[in-house]
Amino acid sequence: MVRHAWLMVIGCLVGCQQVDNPYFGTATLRHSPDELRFNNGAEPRHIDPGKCSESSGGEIANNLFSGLTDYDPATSAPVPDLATSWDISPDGLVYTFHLRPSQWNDGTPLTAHDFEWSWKRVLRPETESVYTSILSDIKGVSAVTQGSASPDSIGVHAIDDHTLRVELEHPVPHFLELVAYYTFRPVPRHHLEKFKAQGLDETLWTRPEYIVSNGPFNLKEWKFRQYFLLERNPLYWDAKNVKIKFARLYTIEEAHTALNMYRAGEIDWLGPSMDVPAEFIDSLKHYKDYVQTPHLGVYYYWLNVKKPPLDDVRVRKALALAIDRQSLVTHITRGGEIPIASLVPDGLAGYKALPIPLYDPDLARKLLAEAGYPGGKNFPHLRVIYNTLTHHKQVAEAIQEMWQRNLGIQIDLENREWKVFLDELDSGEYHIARMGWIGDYADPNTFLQEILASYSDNNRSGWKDPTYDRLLKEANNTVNRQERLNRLQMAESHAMDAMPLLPLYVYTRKFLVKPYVHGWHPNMRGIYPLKYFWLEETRAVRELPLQENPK
Amino acid sequence: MIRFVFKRFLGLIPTLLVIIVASFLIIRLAPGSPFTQDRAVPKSVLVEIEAKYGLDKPLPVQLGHYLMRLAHGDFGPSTKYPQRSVNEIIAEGLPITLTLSLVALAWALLVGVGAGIIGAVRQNSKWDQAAMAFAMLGISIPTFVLGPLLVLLFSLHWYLLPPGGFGEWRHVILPGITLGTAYAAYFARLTRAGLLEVTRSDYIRTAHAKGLPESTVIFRHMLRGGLLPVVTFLGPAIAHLMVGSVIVEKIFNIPGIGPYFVDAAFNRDYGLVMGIVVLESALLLMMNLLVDVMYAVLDPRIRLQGAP
Amino acid sequence: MSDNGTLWHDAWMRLRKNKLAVVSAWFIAGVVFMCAFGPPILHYAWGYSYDAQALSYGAQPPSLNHIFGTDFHGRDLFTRTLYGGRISLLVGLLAALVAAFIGTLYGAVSAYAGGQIDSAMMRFVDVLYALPYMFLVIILVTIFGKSLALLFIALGLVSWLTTARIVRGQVLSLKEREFVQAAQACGASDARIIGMHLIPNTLGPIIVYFTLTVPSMILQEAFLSFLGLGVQAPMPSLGALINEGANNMVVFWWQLVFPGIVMASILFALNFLGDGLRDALDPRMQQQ
Repeated sequence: MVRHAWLMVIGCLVGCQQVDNPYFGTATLRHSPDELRFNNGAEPRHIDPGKCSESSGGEIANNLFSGLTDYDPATSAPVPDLATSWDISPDGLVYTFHLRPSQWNDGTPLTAHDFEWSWKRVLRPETESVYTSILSDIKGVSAVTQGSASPDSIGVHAIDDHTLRVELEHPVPHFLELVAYYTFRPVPRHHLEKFKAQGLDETLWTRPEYIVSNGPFNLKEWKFRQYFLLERNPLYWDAKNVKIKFARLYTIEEAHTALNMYRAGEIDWLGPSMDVPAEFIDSLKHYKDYVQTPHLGVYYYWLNVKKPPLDDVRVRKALALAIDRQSLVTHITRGGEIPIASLVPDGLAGYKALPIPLYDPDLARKLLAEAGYPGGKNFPHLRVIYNTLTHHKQVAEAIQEMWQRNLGIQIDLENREWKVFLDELDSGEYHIARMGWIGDYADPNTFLQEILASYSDNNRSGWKDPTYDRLLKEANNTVNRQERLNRLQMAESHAMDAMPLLPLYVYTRKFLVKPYVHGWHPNMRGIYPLKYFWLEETRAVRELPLQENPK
Repeated sequence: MIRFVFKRFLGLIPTLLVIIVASFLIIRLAPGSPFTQDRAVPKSVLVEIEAKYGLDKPLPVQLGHYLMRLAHGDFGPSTKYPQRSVNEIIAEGLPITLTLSLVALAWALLVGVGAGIIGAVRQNSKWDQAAMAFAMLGISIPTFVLGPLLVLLFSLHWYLLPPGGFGEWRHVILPGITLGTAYAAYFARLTRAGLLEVTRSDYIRTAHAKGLPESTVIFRHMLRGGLLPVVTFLGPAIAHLMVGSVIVEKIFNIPGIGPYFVDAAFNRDYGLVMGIVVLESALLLMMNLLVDVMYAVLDPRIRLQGAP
Repeated sequence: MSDNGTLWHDAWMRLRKNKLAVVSAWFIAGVVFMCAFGPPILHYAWGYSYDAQALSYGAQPPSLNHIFGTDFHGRDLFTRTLYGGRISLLVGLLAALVAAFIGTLYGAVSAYAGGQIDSAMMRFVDVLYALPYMFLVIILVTIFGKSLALLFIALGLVSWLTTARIVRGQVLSLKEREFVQAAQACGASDARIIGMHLIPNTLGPIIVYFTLTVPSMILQEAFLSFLGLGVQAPMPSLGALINEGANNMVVFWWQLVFPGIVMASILFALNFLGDGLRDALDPRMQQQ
């Protein structure tokens, strides 16, 4: 009886709460308006712009270091940062950047030489950068990554302290955006060389006690597995326009923990790299602080073309056509994801997605029969592997059911712990494996080249096609923009005819942000430069009831 | 007695060695590499990184290197967090875990001893029954039920205390209560039993006979003798609390050493996994030794028959 | 053996006088009954099952149809809690049985053999005692994947140690007693002496420890499930349900509250019963 009463108390306290609160949790600013607090996800391996390879490190590098260009907060298009202007040669192969006078936060002047040195540093094996491929459009870089040339030979030259000349391998229409990427941001040569001369381990230079940077913020504290505290950099060239004084980036890996923190008002924003888990979307989407926006990323399944029966293109196509993608995004992922049957999302930098049917179970059955498995008869047991995560499991279960229903074939599902999963992928010992790719710049190349080119390390399918490489190269050597896009489409069409992977949907980002947070705009790239943020409680918000209304 | 303790202490070293070697081999033979990630790592870079950590050498050589390093008190580098050595990571996490354990212990003592005194003084009354029922409830309600329930009420409903994180006093209240409650219950029983034992002793009867006020008897005389079992249990309790904080640190997102238990193994962070294994094993071994010594002190017969 | 008979009889009388223990025993019997027969009845009468999903009924708060509410997949939480209770009780009972069996045998053999063998066997126990077994479980899980069998191995591996120590201590003192020496003089085999004379005489402490092991095994299983290392979905255990509930409580509070209360009350009752049994079987140890 006592237990019962207690239960009812809890039930009432928690159950009938905040019926009229249009926001999820408290909407009151519970800390100084000078400080923005949000979650930045996992503890990053590196925050050194030249070494970063994960979003959590990239977020910090982007705000500590400033490069030639930066992203517009609303459109993510490139805007001048340290480079005030640039000249582009008519053939699109030579870029000359003119730099404004600026300085590192230790007072040392920043010059074009810093850029030259930093970019070459990325290419040196001892830097251990895993993202050298993003530099590959620069003249001479592929020779360096293949080991046949020295990083000093690449087409980057500081003509004087304020002029940087960059030669490209082929025209790159998105190059101005590319140089905003963190890998292209400068690191302080003078400081690093001093560091090495003192015999200190170079990887330690990004610790708060040593770091020298040039961006809108300085790294004030780095509490391991707790938070990063960034403080406005008074020496930043645009310091007067940086609104918040501090930004505290929490290191929370679990989405549920972050949601708790958000609801309790400990953080103001779920952060740039964390989604509301799918199971909460239906319950949260009616709140005013819920934001849903398309994201430049594609969720897909690798089909291992070396494993029979997947070596038969008809089988691969049958599998692709037998998936009801619309039903998948409506019932399973639930976050407004866009179903897609090809790799490059429609409308990316003017690109038109391939007209491939999303769902055609009749054709799928026909193709499978042609391949020798009418009605799925004698079709061997294939295995889909995915890394252990509820979301991947739900998607895989739905697809398993669709294949069973439409093709009459049985598929086994197996989850793998992340590291084991990657090992299995790299060893090529899989049939079908789940993957996702987030674009690094707004150009089809970020998908076509990074995922499918035979020379890309991220091509884990075993599908290496010289014709595709040639088509891609021809397209990328085209100066005319529209012509280039058409040729890229031809390349993609060639790849999708072979169907080494099975695209499923374009990602969306789903997050929560408190009504008092201003200065951000939802965007497809997921880029939210902190220098534009500010916190302010507006009257309307303050007057809203926080607790439930008495009935 | 000292010889007994010393002998047992020396006996721990081969035990620890066996554990270290076994764990070293198990984690190395598990599939997966510490350096794989979603963005593929170029082969040349992978070779460079593996050479840097000495992972290119044969396994026995690596083991030898590791043991040599360990003998110098160096746990080596962390492969997941290249900015930090395992020693640093432990040095940052251990005080946090210890702080949490001490807060929990303070809570446990405050509530536990209080309830125990009430139980003993008013033996077999309603108060006693309530105190002991509370104790049983404390022992029965698992941390992973209590913790989230507290978060649900205090953080998500009343917005009073943060649901996670570490750094200020308000961060340790809920986790401290969560972790300490089971021990509070245990202390309550220990205190009550200890006090009841003392009540029957001659000097308390004398004190009562002298006509001293009851509060004086309780606080001057009874607590001194009756709390002995509690005091002897303090050492093992701290060690227990530290090992038991894994769950609480997970619930409240506290950056102590608890989370590494699980994460480091999943990340194949060889250095960190071994560091945690060595640390926890040593802690457990010491704790067991402490318990044995305590028993030996309390009951000399064990020394004769129990010492291997 | 006749004095042994009165011992059990006395213990039974003492247990029956302990009201809390009796209530706990009835409560546990009720829970066992519900866990055993509840899921099939619920399935028959309302069509609820622990794994069939109905996404359109996802995450409903408690109502008359679903007294514990539903989970994200639209599964009745009451059914899942009962099913989870079944798994948890089963795991607890089996693991405790395995532990008692191994521990008793190991402890008795060790003490009976004595000397170098005893010392070596106890050193092995020391090593296992100090092994951070959580780490071992994680590694096993990453290599073999999650399974119920693995859970038993992991739990069994760590839980027989204390039983072994207790039994060893008991046997050490028993083996010098006259009746053992008499048996030896009569030429009884070692196995017979251990099985027929030593172990039956240590049964009291074994039972007491066994009843206290069951809740601790349930707790350990829940502990592992809470860290995501326990039973594999869609099969629920109480720990797995609570883990899910703790993750979802920010929106769906009932998913934490109900399985949490059920788990705590089961442990509560088991602990009371264990205490009662201890008092009954070994009055000297009362209220330590």
